[in-house]
Amino acid sequence: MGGEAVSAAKGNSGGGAKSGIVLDSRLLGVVAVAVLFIISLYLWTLPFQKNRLPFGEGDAAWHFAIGDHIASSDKADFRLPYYVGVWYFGYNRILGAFAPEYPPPNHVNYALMQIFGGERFVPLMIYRAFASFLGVFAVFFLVSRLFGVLSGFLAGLGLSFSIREQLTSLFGQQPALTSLVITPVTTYAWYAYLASFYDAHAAGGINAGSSQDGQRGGRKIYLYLAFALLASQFLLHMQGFVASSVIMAVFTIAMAVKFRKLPVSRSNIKAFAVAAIMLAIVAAPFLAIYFGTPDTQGTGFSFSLPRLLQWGISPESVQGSFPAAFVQFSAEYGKFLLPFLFAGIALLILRLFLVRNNSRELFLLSWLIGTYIILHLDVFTGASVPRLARMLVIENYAFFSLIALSVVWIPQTISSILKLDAWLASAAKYSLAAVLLFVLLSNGWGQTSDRLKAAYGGLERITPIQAEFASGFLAKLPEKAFVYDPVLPSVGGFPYTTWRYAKMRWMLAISQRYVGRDVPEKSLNRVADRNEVYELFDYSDLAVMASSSDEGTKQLGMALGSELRKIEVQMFNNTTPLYDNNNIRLYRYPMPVENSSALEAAT
Amino acid sequence: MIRIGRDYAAWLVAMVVIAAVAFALFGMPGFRAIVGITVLFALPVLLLLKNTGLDAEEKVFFSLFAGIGLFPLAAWLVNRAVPSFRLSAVLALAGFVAAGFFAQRISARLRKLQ
Repeated sequence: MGGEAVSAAKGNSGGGAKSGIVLDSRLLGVVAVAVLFIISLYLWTLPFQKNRLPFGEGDAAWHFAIGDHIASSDKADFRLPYYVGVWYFGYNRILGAFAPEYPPPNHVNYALMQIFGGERFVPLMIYRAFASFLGVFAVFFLVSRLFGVLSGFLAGLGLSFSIREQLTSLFGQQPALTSLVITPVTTYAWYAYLASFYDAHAAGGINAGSSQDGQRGGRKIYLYLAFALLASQFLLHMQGFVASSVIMAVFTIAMAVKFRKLPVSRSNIKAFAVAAIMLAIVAAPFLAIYFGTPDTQGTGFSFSLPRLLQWGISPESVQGSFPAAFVQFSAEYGKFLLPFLFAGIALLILRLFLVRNNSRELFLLSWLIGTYIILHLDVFTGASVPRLARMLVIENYAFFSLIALSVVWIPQTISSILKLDAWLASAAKYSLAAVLLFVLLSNGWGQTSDRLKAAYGGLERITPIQAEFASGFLAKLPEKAFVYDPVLPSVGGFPYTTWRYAKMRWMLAISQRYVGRDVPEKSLNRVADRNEVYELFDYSDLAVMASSSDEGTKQLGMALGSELRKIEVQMFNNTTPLYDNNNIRLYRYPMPVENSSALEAAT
Repeated sequence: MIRIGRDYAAWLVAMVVIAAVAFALFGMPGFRAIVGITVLFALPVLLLLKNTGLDAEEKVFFSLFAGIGLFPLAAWLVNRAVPSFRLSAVLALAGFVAAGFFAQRISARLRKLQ
């Protein structure tokens, strides 16, 4: 394969550039990153540019609560604080109650951002957005290193409008996403290592260029970095680690077949051992966190031909966990992007056969094969499909890369067949890039902006009244207070209890006191201080609904308020509430709880 | 004296521009968040990679993506021994700075010996 793979790994996208041009391309890369960063920062922070209260589903509140506790207590414990530990009480079968569900880095990062940012919500939410749109830069890095800044920029721009990544981030599953976004960088490091290894092998280990490029065993710095990045992914979320491992394994096999040699020799075996031991040292203390949870217990191989013939994940299989748009191909790739995508895939296949030094193309093919394997882990391991759905972002990275590469490959291929002048090919490339840029912006900007501006607006997010109640009153209750939020029957088909779930969890996070409704009896018996049980009646949202100009909303608010009032009267008639302000009332449960079943029946 | 190469200067300028945008959007917490991301996640590993044969772009990207998982682990580990989390984070950062400094000196010695 000659020096092509290594020159690509060294950042020479086109080859033959003079020093002045190389400097310009580097500066161009920095400018491209800055532009992508500013676009992503602006768009992805739209949900909290005006309303700076936190938002997201229960997961978002859960992650916030742990990081917030580290910052406020100035201590990063291995065990969860009481009010978080009760939430998924006894979830980990190995580590038991109050065990963490993630290794420390995610939540330590939240705490670091609160401390460094000097404010409770905004710096942490900026981190949440940043750690979610990092995929833009990971793909920019991968594509620009291998194929040039132009295609890298276009691929990154496409990702900044990705609905899948935005929804994952909005819902609060950002730690899984952050681990997954590292995959392009990890696999690039692995690509660079294998490319240099086989390059050195082909050259017989003779120093072909620099002292590092030609050394036997390849450039080991890339090997160490690949393992360090794997460690980083493992610490953030297991899914990113799995994704990188699968793609690296597929690419290793592809290169081993191509060169008819495994990438192992006496010269690199020590480096492999050192890197693997370092990874094991970092990972071992946290293995029980992942393997003690029910989510990692797959049901084993379950053959299903229709499923194997399907590329992605169907909306039916994630119903109740994600909206259909999350997995739908058409929601992610607009119809005007499809010609670019199909051209990219077709040209990738063509280049695999026509380009002699095709390691980069083999790498992209490995991404596609790896993505297929990852998206079918339900078949191979029995993994849960809604969990797998998050890994669909790996497909985005491959497809947006191919979409962007089509603008470079189409003119290049036509030019080599028709022997066109270089300037004509170049003009065609930039014209196509302009068309793709227009398609991306016209398709993505408006939709993304509207979607993110509207995210968790109005009553969908914790309101200032509720936040003030949580931080001003609930936070002063005893540390082991148990605050119950009543379950209301569905009125007019509106599932109020489900709708209120995330809000209730945000009240928990902000107050640092347990607020919930669905604690199993055995947990309650073990953890509740029976003299510190409280009942919450929050009419503040319902009052807003009842004063709405929309008749339907008004009736719904009044009906729900009436249902809640019935429970309140039944339980606390003639009792003075501890708190009564802004349509929120809190009562101490009238008697020591003898039996949690009685309490649950009452609520 | 701290010397910053041309490539790193470009990255630094980009970071300042991004931090300025964050300031325009969110005021001081926004500015501090961007500076925090740079100092806490990218800088620690960047110091370790300073003397490798990688180019500036590779160093910056590898540092950021490795640092976002590894630096908090270091702060958490220090906090096993040091009671204050804030102090632990500062000590972890100091550890990376020292490791970067000594790595440079050790590799310089080795080059001299060669």
